[in-house]
Amino acid sequence: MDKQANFKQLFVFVLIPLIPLVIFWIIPLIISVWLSLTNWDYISPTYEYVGLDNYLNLINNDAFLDALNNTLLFTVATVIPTIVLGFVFAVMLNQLRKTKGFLQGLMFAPWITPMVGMSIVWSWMFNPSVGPINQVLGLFGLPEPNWLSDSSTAIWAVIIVTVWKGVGWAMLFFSDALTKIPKGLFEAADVEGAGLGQRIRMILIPLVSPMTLFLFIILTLDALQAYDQISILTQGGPSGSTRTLLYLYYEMTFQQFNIGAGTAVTVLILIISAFLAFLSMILSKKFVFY
Amino acid sequence: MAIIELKNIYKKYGDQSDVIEDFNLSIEQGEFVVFLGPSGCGKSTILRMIMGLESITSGELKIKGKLQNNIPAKHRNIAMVFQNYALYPHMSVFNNIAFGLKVRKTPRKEIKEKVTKVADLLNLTPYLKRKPKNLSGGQMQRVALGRAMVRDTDIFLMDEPLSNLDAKLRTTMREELVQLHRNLSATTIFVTHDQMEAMTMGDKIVILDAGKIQQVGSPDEIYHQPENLFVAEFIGAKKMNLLELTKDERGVTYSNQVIKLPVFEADKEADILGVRAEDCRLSLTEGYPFEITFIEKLGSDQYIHGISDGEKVIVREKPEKTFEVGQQIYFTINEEKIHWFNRETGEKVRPKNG
Amino acid sequence: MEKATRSERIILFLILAFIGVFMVFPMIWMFLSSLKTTEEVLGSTMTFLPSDPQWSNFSGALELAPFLRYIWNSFSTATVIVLAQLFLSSLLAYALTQMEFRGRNVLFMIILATYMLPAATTYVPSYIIISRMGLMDSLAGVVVSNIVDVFSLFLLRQGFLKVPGELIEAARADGASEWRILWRIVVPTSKNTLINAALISFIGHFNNYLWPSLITNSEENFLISVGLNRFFNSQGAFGQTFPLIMAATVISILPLIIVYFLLQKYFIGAISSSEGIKG
Repeated sequence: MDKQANFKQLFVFVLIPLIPLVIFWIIPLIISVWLSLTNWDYISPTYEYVGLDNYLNLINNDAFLDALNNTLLFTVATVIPTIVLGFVFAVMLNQLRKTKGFLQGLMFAPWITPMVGMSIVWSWMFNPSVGPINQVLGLFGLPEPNWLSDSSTAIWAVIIVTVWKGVGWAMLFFSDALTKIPKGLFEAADVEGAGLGQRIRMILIPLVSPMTLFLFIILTLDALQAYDQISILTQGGPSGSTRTLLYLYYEMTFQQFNIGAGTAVTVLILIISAFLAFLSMILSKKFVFY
Repeated sequence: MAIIELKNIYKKYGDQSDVIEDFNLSIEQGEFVVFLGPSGCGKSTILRMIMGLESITSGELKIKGKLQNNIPAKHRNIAMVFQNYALYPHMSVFNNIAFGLKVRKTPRKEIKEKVTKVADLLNLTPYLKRKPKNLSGGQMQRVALGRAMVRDTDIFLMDEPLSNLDAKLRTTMREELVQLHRNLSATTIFVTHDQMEAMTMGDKIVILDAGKIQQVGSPDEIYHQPENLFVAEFIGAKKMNLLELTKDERGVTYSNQVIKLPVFEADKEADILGVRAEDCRLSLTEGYPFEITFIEKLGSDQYIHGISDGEKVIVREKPEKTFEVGQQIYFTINEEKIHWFNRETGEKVRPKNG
Repeated sequence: MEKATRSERIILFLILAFIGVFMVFPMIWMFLSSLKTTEEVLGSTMTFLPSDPQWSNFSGALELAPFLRYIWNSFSTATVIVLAQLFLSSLLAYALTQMEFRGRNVLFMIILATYMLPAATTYVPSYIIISRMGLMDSLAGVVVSNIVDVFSLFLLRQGFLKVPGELIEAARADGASEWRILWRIVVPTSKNTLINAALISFIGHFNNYLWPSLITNSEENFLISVGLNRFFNSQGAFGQTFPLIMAATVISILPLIIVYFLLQKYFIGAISSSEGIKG
């Protein structure tokens, strides 16, 4: 039986740890929602309540719609490859014995590196004239895009960097989920005549589905909040092609000091996050086995 | 004709010594064969080799006359029931049973018919829509069986399928399995470490220890005619009493009394006398000395444990007789029921026919 | 899974090793580039190895900006943040797993929900709060505003749930206070979880960029990512200073690489124990 806590215990164990959470998360959240309903510019001492104007302006603003579009593209195009590749790598690694740990170490290494530092490195790897990527593509006679300075490829460069950094993380999660599946299940499927493809499709994928859902939520939240790599690789450009909602928020709030509109963007990001999390919970009832 | 034949089978993992050593066995169509042995004796390894889940280091495995060594499990067309059932947790009972048919692209209608029939036979019909986590141990066990039965095969392998059930359920399932075997008349290999299971279910029992066959025989044979010391001690509710004989100028003796030896087959010597508890009697006046150390009352019988000349001896007695711990009495042996062994080889020594 | 044969495993190893090398290639390339001359980097022919390693690039980078100071700032703030987080998260995780009080589950759901909250939502108000506290442009401000970490709370909660109940009941029967049970029994038994949570959190805060860049202005308070990015932006004539920038990046990444290779097994373990965060 758990112990019924008295007031003094609640004070020490619950209230004190909650203080920073309240000061730096809960209260700011409430203030943000309020600010998004004002026209505050950070500098003026006064501001007015403007209702939903900020939101309505955003919805009619092409920059916002483009950013929303970019965000959705960026999120889908990072989350899905990260999960798929992480799963495939984990399945392959699971077959190895002595070398498994070493290879996991290599694949996970990008995750611990700072996004800022590695984005600087990648910005040079993408350099059209002296970067190694195009030099290698050139060797094979493949097209050599301008990557970061071409508005059609810039977002893909940012996506590549993001997947590169996150795939080892997903791989480790899947590896762990795989080792927890009882070996007997695969043997049973083998005995019953299931081929490799059938075993992966009918046993493996359903059994790691809770992990897939978990990664899906975490990676989606991360993707919606991606900033560092965009800030270094492209600063939202060229011509807004990599300006995600979060980057738009940064520009509005900390460059244009349009606090009301900026916070409205973050509230929208919050709503999108909550909606996606909620949606995946609903879908999980259908597809995820617990 | 033998349906399964194992010839000079060896199993080795890496550089370690043999896990299975020169295993030879042939199993007839429709037999219920039990592999019995302590844990780690290699019984599951052999089963898994027959199934194709373990490779065969050397030797020949033939099923219905065809060499199987390099045929993958899924093409051997054998059904197997796993110790932990290995039910797919994300599938309903119906889908668990149907899985083997589905992967073989059986028409839907046929799947439904077969699963329904099997579920009916196993009393699983009300649970077809449940997931394994909502089943009791006995129900999971039956699903695992159903999954094997629905397959179009006449060979069943069972790897300690009852070991996760509680004692009462285990007895019931034992009877059900025997019944089922009678109805299906499929060849069955059943692995267990529980001799009660082996004795009550098997047509033929294969006793294994340290990767080697110790004895193959019917339950009666292995109980009444143990081939070696291992089987003598391993089989039976109480292990066989083994009395060490000594040799002196008078001949062979036990506890200073001369033992009359039969004439053995060609220059074999016996130095251990084996006798089961039920073939001994306690006596107040004659026999070998016996000091009672412990009395085990079982209702229908009682087992009297004692020390005789430094050896532990167990005697079965009728429940009416009363004894006391510490009592110094004697025990006698039914001479017709003596088993002779040689300590060095561990083998039974046979008297010359006569 | 069907066991792969030896030759299949060799093929798999080769494929995965190739992928693994690809994964660390940016790090290798960064290191090699940091030893090259500007001419080599900008030359039209691709060179992989530096012809004459320019170790002076490192001292050059260190002269241009106080990278060691940045690293120290990152290291010290991340350390203090992690310690404070572990202390507070341990208390709360203990209350959530071992104590009975009204609203316990509701509280946990609220905390769970804040994990979904984009941090950016809180930036403007937090910025104001930090400046009202007089902590603007100070390492103290970086520390104070980062003390909350819901992720480490989840990790600890998962770990504390695994502590056998008998252990805690036995301690209560012996008359130990809750405070004592937490620090003397629950925390030592969950040592691995704490190490895992500490490592994940440490990496995150060591590398942290956006928020610290908003609340620090003076060079002496920059964290490594902030300082590195300023350096990157200030070296406007890109090509010329490229090897210096690579050298600076190497300097900024090196501490983590070292930590990673020393404590690799705990990183891998961190993932294992965080499974089941679903709640």
